Amino acid sequence: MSIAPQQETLELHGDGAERAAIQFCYHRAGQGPPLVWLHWLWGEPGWMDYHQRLAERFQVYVPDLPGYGQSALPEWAKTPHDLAVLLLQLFDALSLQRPIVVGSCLGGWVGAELALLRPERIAKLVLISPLGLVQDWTKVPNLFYTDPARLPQYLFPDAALEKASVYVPELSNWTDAFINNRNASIRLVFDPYLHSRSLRHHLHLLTTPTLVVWGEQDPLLAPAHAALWTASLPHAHRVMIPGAGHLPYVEDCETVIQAIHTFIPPQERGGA
Amino acid sequence: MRVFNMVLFGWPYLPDDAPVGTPGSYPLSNRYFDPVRGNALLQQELDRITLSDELGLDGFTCQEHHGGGGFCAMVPSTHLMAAAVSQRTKQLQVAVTGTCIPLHHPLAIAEEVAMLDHLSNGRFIWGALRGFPTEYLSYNVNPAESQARFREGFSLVLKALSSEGPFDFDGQFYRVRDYNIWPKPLQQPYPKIWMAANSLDSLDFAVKNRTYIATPWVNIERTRSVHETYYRLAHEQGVAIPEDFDDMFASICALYVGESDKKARQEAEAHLEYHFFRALASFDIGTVSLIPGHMSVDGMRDWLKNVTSKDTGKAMGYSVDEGIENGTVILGGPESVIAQIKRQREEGKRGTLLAMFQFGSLPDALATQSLRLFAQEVLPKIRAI
Repeated sequence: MSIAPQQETLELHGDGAERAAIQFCYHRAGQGPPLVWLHWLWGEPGWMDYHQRLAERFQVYVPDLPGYGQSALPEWAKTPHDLAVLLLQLFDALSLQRPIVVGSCLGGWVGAELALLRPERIAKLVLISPLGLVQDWTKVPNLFYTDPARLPQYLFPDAALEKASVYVPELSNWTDAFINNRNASIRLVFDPYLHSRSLRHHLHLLTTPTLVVWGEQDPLLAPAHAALWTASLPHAHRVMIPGAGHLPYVEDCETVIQAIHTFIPPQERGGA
Repeated sequence: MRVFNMVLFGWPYLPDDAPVGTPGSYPLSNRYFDPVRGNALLQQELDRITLSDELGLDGFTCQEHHGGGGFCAMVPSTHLMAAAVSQRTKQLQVAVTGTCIPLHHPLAIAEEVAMLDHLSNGRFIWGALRGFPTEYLSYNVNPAESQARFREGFSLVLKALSSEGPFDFDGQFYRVRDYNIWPKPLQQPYPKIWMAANSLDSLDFAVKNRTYIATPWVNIERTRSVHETYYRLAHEQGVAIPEDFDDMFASICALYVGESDKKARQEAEAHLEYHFFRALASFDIGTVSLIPGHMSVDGMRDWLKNVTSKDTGKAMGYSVDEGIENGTVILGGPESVIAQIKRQREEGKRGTLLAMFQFGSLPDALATQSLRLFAQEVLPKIRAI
């Protein structure tokens, strides 16, 4: 089956005071139950192999989060929680009543905020090394001030460094779009660095069936962080990906896809 | 031409193995700071400011930098320096260029500005500065908010300085109900304000807020274009330009006068090189510029272009000759220095030099000797320039 992703832009006009006028850009492909993929901190490089694999079974939406790519970030929006509020507008506009949400890194944090805001609107939640809970932020590598040559090491284990440039290009290849995505990211997660002081105290309200996926070699957020999430979400499943870093679907796409498939049985999926 | 003695307090004792100029070298470890030597530098500098007053210089100024600021600079609080100088001097204007607004509460800034105006008997000039993104990281203030916080904070400082009776303020970052500062400043409604401005955006803000302009370390062509842009924007917006705008149009430079060109170069060259290649290099501008959120993509590229050495390719890594050529250095015997200052006025439109008499590793005695020579041989002859 050949699946060609469509790139679409939606202008949401809002309804005056409470709902903002906002522009969303997203990729869409596949047939089946809707699945929304929420990208990592510096944006999705494009339509990737893991999106393609998911699109074999799901109708996959990959939006640029507000502030990233062509999606606008309103001035009042400053936190992943605010992004979740904006995403619910997109869900309404696309008539996504109860999608599966898969979020990586920043997208995982936004996914958790979505499920806390509107549990009835999320069928299942997959959190792939989500930001939001951090053991000691001063020990987490500083993604905003460092020698740019070191950035790949903060995200990928040594064995996967050759794959890093798609996500963190060499300095000479930084495009305006990449710089813009970094500018958006610092607005959202600068302080407290990559986490929230209240999220931990909210998570007991999260009742959506949840899968937590973590790379065993994550250099940014050590795998012990997976236990922070499952401690707050006693019913969540946890899958560790050997040899993988902060974006485990880069090193081991198949294992991550299998974990998602196992978590969402065939009767809940589309396709054959 | 007017001349202010600008104090940066570069650290002259960096050992050869200090990790300067490497990515992420800000902040330089303060194990390189020797308290006894640092104290001596501070006292010597204060003495030289007192001498500058006696010798008839127009003013004193300093800049706020944190953690050495990347220049190994020793002025984390410009207001404290200005307070000290106000008590040691009689005539010269006491300026700061300036205060990093978002790193302080704007009400505290307004209160201190009013106090400094009284402490100096109305000789105070305030300066507004956004500062470097590293300093925002250090104070954990989001660099992505620095522009908005600067502008809103500036409005609040002005409102606090100029409001009669309790006022309210409703901003995105600062909210005030039913407050007014006490005392009010001596100069009414408030002291003159220098704004560190260079980009089109910041010049537009300066025009709208009726401030004077102090450009950062940029070349002569850039100060001329900044001057032109300010006039154009003021004209377009129907804003009257103050009579003393040109005389207050300020630029930073390192200045050294020797008995002759040859002697000046012999005495100062190595110390200027230390300033540009050691002290300034402790601030790795390449890495600092990559801190996201502080500048727009275009703003960052434009700024880097204007501070990058044509000779060395490094940001602010000027050779001495290049520094003289681009106006960031004034060096020579009295006649050459007069000619260079004339060129700064004519080609760079500069009306006030914020001149570092001490820079890099220049020893105290040479800085004082140069200052005396400047006051004696140069100052009387540049008044009419």
